[in-house]
Amino acid sequence: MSQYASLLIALPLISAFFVPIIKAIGKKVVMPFLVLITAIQMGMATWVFNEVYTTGKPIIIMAGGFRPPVGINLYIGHFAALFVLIIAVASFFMAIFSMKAITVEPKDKYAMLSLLLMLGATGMISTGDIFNLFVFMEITAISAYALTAYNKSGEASEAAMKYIVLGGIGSSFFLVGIALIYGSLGTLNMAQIAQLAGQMNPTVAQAALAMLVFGLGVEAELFPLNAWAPDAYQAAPHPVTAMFSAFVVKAGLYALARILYLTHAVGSWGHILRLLIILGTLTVVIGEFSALRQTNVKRMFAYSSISQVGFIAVGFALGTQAGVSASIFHMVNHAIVKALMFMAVGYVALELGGVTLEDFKGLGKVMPLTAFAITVGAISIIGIPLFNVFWSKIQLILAAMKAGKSGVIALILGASLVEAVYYIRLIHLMWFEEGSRERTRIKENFVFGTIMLLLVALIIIIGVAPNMTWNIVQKASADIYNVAQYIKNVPLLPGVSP
Amino acid sequence: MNIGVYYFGAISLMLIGLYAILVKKNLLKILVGLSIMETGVNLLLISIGYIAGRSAPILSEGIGPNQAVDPIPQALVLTAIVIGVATTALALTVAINLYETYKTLNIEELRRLRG
Amino acid sequence: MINELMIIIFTPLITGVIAWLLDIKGLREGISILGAAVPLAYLIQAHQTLTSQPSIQYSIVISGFKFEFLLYHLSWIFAMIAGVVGFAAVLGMASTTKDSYEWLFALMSLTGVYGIFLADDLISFFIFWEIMTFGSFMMVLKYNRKASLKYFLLSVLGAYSMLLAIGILYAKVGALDFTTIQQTLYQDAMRGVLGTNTLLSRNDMLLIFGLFLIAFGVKAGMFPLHVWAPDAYSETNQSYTAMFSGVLSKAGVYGMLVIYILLGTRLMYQFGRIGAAPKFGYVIAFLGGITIIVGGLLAALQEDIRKLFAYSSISQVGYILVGIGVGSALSIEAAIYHAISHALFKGLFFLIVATIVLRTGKTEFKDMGGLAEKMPITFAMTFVAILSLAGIPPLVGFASKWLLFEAVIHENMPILGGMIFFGSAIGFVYLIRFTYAVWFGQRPTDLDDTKDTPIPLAIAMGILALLNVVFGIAPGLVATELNKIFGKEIIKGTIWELNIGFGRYNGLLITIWLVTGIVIAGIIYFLGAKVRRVPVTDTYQGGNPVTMEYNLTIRRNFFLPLKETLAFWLRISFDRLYQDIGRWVEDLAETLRNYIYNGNVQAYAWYLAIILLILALWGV
Repeated sequence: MSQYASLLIALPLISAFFVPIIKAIGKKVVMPFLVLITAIQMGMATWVFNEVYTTGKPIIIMAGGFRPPVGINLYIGHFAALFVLIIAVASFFMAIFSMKAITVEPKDKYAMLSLLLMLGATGMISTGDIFNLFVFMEITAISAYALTAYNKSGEASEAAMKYIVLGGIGSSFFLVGIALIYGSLGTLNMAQIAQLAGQMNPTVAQAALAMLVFGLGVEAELFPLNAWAPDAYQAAPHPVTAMFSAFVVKAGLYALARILYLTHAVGSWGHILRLLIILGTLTVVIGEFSALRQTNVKRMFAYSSISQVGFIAVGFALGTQAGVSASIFHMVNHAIVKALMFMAVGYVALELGGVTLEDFKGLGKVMPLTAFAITVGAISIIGIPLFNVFWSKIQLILAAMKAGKSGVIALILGASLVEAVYYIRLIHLMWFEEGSRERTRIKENFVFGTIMLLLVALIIIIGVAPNMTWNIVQKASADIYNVAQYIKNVPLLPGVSP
Repeated sequence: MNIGVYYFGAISLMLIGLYAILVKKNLLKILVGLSIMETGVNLLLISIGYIAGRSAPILSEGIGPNQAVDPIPQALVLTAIVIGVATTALALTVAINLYETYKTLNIEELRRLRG
Repeated sequence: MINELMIIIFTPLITGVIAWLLDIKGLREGISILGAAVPLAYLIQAHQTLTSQPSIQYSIVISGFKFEFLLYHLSWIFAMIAGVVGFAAVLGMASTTKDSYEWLFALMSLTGVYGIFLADDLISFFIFWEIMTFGSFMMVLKYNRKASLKYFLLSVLGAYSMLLAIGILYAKVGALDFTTIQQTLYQDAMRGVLGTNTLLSRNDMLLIFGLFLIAFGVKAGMFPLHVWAPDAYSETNQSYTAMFSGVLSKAGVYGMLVIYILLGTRLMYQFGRIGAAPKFGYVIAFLGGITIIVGGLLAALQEDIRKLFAYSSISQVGYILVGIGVGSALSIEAAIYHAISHALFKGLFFLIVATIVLRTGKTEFKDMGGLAEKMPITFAMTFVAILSLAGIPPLVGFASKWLLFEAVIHENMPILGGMIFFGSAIGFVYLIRFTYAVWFGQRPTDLDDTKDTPIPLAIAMGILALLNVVFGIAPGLVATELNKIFGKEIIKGTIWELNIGFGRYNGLLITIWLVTGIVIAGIIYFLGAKVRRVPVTDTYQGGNPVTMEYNLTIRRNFFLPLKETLAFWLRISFDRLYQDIGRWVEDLAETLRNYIYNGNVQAYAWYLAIILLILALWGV
């Protein structure tokens, strides 16, 4: 029964290649098809989520029935189940949003690419094989490149070009890291790597780990490897930006954390953590500062998103289970909030034709619902109690305190002071300032309004009663942190060793 | 032949590619550099699986499992090559689009998005 | 979930949300007033419970944290301040608010304050602290972005300082509830006395204390962190400011008391005493003293009545800080007494200002005058408030200031005593101006058809004015409650009399004498005085020709000479300093951003290469 979970990968892949056929049936059917597929995916993800969390056992799928390490396996543990669900839900919402937000032809290519993007991220999160991870990462990246360039404007091409060059360098070195690991351990299976990590030559291990972190750092938007991100976020179509922030970067972060904790037996592990803490802190600080005087709101949110990623990276780099839990909690919260905010910004752009601060003046009177959604998102990100991000931030801070990293926390808190400044300016602009242009109130789309309100409700529900989410998150973090259990869960073929 | 030569070649290719990316101003040259770098990585992968004196891992007459080199890196490289091709093709498309829009491929002039 | 403490804390927020969602005129006001009244009723009822048991407890587990709440004598007094003044302010808002937005956030901040006073662990303390800050911030944001931003930034700075301090405590002590922390630190102090190694080092203590001081100092408006207060207090609904200044600033004061409760023994052991006061307390007291002077002087120089009372508020909180800082049982009681009286009279003042603003639409002295005739009820309230703030018996302001002064002098602290004394004097200076310029003298013609206060505001002011009088005549009512905090009779005496051993004050006696005097004066007045009625327009400028360059009427630049004398000191402005720092940071950020994200993909590739190089150098 649980083998059907492999459909999570198969369905988007097959349907992506069905898109041209659907197009032949009728151009108008393409986008509904996308919505349908994402809806099915969401249903399956919900089922898998339920299955994993009720039985408490991960679902392990072995390709072709070969047991690992001979065959490639998918490992849908607590973390993957949670994130596959988030990916599917975000994709579903954005697919609906795309029906109106995507105006440039060829829409069938858009549908195909966004299915592949979803597939890639799902694969990255659920795979149990490090080379397979690379392949899924490349699928994600290539569809992301293409989606960034989708608008075909000069800016879109420029952003895609930057993304390709930097992403290309990153993935090349990631492959080098894989080569080094394979060369010294003779396996690509993650569980087996974890098992054997202690036997690795420390120098090779350090080099391999450094390459892997470097390669994933580009995907996970760590400073200074993230220079492509603001441009790509700004130039990509609005639903795509939301997906980038909601799950593409999260998949990179997950891979980073997974590989990090799999190799915790490696001698130089502490060095890598220290490096990551430095990078994460820099990401937060530079991201917040860059957002400060932005006049393009989408870009401002992009920088804000980047700095949140820094928070998450720091949490993973603490090396304690509390840190991992806090980071995953922050990932969940951030995915909700940023999906909401990028969607709202995209909607504003769609209705008003621009996303500069000037367009946002007096938005509260023109598009009250959208402005309300952005306000709730902003307040949440700032970290006000009774909103979800508060809880993850405070867990992160306490975790860092426990780990004895108070200096880092001071710096991060200082940076999030900056966050308050630009978000408050935006809120004031939307509600209490008059736009220079005369504008009448726009009738907001019912469906988009519902989605936004749904996300707002989620923010507040988690904010008021974080218990349930926190329990889920703790299980997910145990999945990453508790490597011994991970190794035990994967049915490695006995006697096969490199 | 000594395995070190392959490693040396692979790393040299990667560095040459990196050099092109870091120094050349023409976008196409940068993309070529990217491609060279990927080739270098692929070569590295292959040489890791190389065992001196054995042949390609294609099961044919006279070549059993013990006469072939490690097949896994070769499979990996096949995949990596495919991915590389896709990336390059996409990058070239983008480059064409950029040239049509801005009439230049100079990397220093392609910076509308900044700050 | 249904627990009386939870009801007290969350009723305002819930009613606020309901009022905001319904947004039906009339109904939302009713719901909101109910939201402020219910906690007050519960608190009054809790007084009964507290006579039979020492405290009411409640705890709940959310997200892995155990939230604990505790109502005992100290928190009951502070919660009552919030209850009474909050209720009055909400009544006032019923007249001045036209927007459901304000109801939501005003009541949210009330919830925050209740939560702070009832919290018994640091995490809930922090959470409600943030809720309070956020609610009040949104109230200011609606009126003025700059003021609100300043307020929010300083508040968040404070909040994060608190969070860091909490984090350090948590990392060392391993618990967040007040009881454990208190006990652990007490034991730690004992360990220090015995000469063994302490859990927390001297630097830890210094850091924790400093961070808490910043956190609470911001909210209390302590110098030099007071810069947000004048703008924030004046740039919002003035009825709300009654709560803002009367109650929210008390959260900062309460925080200072929390420092005493949690860290007192440990800090005292670590840093010793100056004279009778603990050294750490002396820091608070001294900053409080400076706050009195700075606030008082700046209040005198304002041309806007809202600003005047904002600065006056800052100055008055200074008194409270002095009392807390001195650290004797008497001075702390005196400080809490003053916290009560400040909330009562300053709440009253801001409601009066709200009435004036509502009825005239003006806020500056130059546009006012002769309102006493048009607004008799408001004027009567003003009369009470002025006497109380100026510290004239038999009003509550006198009782508390007297206690405070006695307590400070008793501990042989002439400098602090002098600061308090100076503060009282400067209080007269700005009050005289307010009294005359607004209520008497020539009335601008556009104020001729000014109406008196609306009924809800009148009721609100009436409640506060009545309490001002009652607690002044019968100070023993307050003293009995204050004594319960320490569990012994520190302020002796009867219900009418305060007796602290080296001095006594009998409110009733003074009232009787005062009434007698007034009656005698009245008799003389009605029997003998010749009265000539003068129309309000028929007043003169004392013989001197008036030039526009140096026109110092009571309504205009009245204290210009004072301003000129202080010119040198006024140039030192912390407000400007903070703004400069802010601008500097923003400029830096912009430069940095344009430099790093310069748009050139080759530069970006170099970043990657540099990181690779670093990895290579440090790894292989």
